[in-house]
Amino acid sequence: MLACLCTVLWHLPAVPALNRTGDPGPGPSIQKTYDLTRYLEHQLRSLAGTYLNYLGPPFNEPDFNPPRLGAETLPRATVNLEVWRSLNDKLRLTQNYEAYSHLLCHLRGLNRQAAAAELRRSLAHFCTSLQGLLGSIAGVMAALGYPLPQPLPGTEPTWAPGPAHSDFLQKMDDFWLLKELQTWLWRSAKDFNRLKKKMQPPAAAVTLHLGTHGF
Amino acid sequence: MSPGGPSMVVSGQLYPRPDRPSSLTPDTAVISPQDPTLLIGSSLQATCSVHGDLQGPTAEGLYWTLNGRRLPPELSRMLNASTLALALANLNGSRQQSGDNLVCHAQDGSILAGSCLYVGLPPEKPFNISCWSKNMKDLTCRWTPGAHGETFLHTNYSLKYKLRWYGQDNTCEEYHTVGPHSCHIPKDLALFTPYEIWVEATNRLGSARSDVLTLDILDVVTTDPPPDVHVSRVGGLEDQLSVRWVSPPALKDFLFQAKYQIRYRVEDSVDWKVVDDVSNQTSCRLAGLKPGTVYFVQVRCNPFGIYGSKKAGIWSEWSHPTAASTPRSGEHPNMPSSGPVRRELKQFLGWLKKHAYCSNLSFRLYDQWRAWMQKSHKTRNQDEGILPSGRRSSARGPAR
Repeated sequence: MLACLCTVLWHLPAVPALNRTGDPGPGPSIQKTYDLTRYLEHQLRSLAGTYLNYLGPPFNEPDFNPPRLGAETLPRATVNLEVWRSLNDKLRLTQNYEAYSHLLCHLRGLNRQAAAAELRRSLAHFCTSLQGLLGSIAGVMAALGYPLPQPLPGTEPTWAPGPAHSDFLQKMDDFWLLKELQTWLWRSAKDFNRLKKKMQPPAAAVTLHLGTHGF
Repeated sequence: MSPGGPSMVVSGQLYPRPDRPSSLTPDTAVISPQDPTLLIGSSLQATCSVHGDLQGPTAEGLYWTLNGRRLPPELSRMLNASTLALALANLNGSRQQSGDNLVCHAQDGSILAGSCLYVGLPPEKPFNISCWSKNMKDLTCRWTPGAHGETFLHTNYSLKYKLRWYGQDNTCEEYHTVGPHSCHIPKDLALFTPYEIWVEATNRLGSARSDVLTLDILDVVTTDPPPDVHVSRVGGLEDQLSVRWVSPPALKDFLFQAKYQIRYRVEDSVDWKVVDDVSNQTSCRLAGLKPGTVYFVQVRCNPFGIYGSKKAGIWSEWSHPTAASTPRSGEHPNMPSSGPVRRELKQFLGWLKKHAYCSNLSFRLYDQWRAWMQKSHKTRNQDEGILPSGRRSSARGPAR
């Protein structure tokens, strides 16, 4: 299974925290991040369709569910519902950031020389968009005053010459990468929607106050 | 990809649960050969070996699929308790360039192992290489892949070039610029020494090389179409239009005798008339046209004989169409219309129509003749007491 060198991602330039006085707060950038996840989800749908057709049947058949082998090292979007609900903001954002860093790394490592030029272009375009999402998440974290996750010494992902990987196993890895990306984008939309709701000013209290005045 | 979002309700899991337990580990089973490359029409013997202990899976009940389709059972047989064999004959070219998916399944349908089959043909010799240089700054080449094109395998094309008497091979890097089999060399091109250019095609089954094309950059120069093409009326002359353009600025510093071509057509026609042999000038008159008609005109340029090259260059694209209309008949009543003069005029016009080309000399003469005819006609009218009508503007009115 490929391990990935992605030091570049871990050293994104620090986004300065927004000036707190009179600024609209992190709301707009959370909204923007939410919108980006929806856009990426849309982009991925068409990219995945084309890519799976390139891999050929059975990979492009609906409900295809091969064994998950090397995909064990991919960050899992799957989480227990209660655990997900109870995540604090910092952890929620950190998990998203780390997940997309890893996924982007794997995507970039996809070496598909044989694919048509157009498919390669779509992949490159998607990677750029994903990089944009990472930047957006970093922006939200900075606005809320959270530090960007830094890799611990020793756990930093590095290139390791993987075991000789058969082409078929590689196809299965590609399949799971796309699947995991899709699941993460679904989950992120809900993550950012939740954050958005939390950040909204409590308007209800004001209305009640006016209401009682009328009596 | 399966539609619908992940379930967040059942057992609190976001992940769609697999229908079958995942039984595969890297040691469960292996197909041999792994990822073979084969010629179309050849046969394949494959085996699926299950690594099991006594309680583990055996070869009993295993089956094969190829590209998702179950293979007929008569093609398989059990070699021993843990090995299932497959015999395929007369293979067709691979369905996708990533390889055909040959999969060994357990009895319950789960995937035990897989292997990608690459079935195709070696590449044939690419041919028909043609190249052109835009303003001597770059070189773009196009070629045709070998006779059948479809090799069923990913075939990599590489355009190579080198200066004839200087040994180093170079490889072009910007592909697919003008179609799938093209490449663009953007810089560092030398003049005055010929280049040798060829295309190498490689795939898993072999490689092929085109014939070498030798060319001099100066012989394949093309340029931009002439800018600022203007088409205007020639006074009141109802069968002529004047075309003016500017020589392409990119080559203005280089000595060359440009050649131009003009083509024009009536608005609702698809037939172009071409005026050839327009040498080294930036204006031309079209004659023998229909009065009161809208014409579309285009001009293109050939940098002929650039830097002393003996060959014609390559024609540029046509300029954007410019439209203009000829004046209607009778817009200028000062035109002579009486009998014998009319006959003579008709003859002259007939001659002109046949020989409509850009020769300034003949037009000057014709214009002089017409101006003289008008003058004499006006004089005749005045003598007869007929004043010219309110539309006094002479035939040499402002060009539109």
